[in-house]
Amino acid sequence: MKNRLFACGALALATFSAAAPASAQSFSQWRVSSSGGGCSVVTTKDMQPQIPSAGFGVNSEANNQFSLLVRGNMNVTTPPKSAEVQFAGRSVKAPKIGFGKLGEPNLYGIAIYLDVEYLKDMAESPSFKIRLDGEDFATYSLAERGQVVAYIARCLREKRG
Amino acid sequence: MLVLAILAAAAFTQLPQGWVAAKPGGQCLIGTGPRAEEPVAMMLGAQDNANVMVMLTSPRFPGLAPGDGYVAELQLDAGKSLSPAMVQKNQQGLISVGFIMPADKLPAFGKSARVKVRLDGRNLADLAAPGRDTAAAALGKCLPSLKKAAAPAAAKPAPQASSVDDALAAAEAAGNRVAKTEGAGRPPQGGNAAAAMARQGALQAKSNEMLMMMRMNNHLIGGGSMADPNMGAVMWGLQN
Repeated sequence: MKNRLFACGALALATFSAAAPASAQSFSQWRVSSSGGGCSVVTTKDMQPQIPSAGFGVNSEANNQFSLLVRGNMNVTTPPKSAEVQFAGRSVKAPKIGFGKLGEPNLYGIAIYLDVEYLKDMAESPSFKIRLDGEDFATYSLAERGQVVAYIARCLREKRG
Repeated sequence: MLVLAILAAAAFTQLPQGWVAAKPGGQCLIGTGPRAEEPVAMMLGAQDNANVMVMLTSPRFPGLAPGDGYVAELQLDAGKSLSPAMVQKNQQGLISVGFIMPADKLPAFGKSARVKVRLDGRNLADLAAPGRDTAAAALGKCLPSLKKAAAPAAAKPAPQASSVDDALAAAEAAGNRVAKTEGAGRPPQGGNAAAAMARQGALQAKSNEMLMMMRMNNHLIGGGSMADPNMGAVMWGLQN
């Protein structure tokens, strides 16, 4: 599991080729970290106190799937067996989960993979809840969520060509 | 791919003392690691063979506020080159400055007696570090491996079912609808809006690369190793 999470970072670095026009997008509380190999945004440090973990990102390397990336000091110290995301209108069980210990004590990262079908739910949900192994983990209300979702979708469409 | 990786690693076996190298995430990187001189660390890295990113770190860079609207001027015996530059302050209070040097300047960088950087017209640092000629040559040898290694990743993915297109179109439309109720992104700085927009786009494209370098630089300054197998996570911001 650990390798899987770190692999997503490595894959996101697959190339440094200048991205398509979607790369020109800028946010006030997110930073675009897309490369030629993927479409990614991560929250800036300034936003971290406002969300229930130290960091949050949305990443996609395959254009039929995206992942919600959460990192922070967590009580979750073993890879979750299941993850569920409850959007405003529907819930979905993640087909794949990445998990890794990120060096410092209690600092962990989780990648929850979802089908791109659920990307629009992120935009349409003022908040969404992540449940791990059947228990509530965190509820997220993301700033600029519409712009973030539109960016990721546009970036993926451009990469599909 | 494996053969290429081995060849690239072999190119880094002859580095001068005080320089380290790695090839994480398919990149070529060399760096001085922590030094007593100013800047306290210097790193050069590339993931394609057209541009080399230069990252400098020091606690003493004067009065630099974090941001990505800077312009760096690299002064070599052979001439000057300009680049967008960005500044970041890490959790230890160290200031990092990142900018781009065209890869074809690498030999001149190694051989030049004068290696100075100005940032927004002010003298920033002298980069004439001992061993730079050998280190630059080693990086130059690694660069050709990148183009070949990057080719598969740059290839377009195979066409998929139209349901993916539909899902992405629906997500983009939903995102745009919600975005209308949100504040706009950061406005460009400067008086000439069109020029500022163009500059912002170019800087954004480069700033992603430089940000990754900065994360790696911060990790090394904090005692991390270039050989850290988690460097991909470091560069992506998942690990400090």
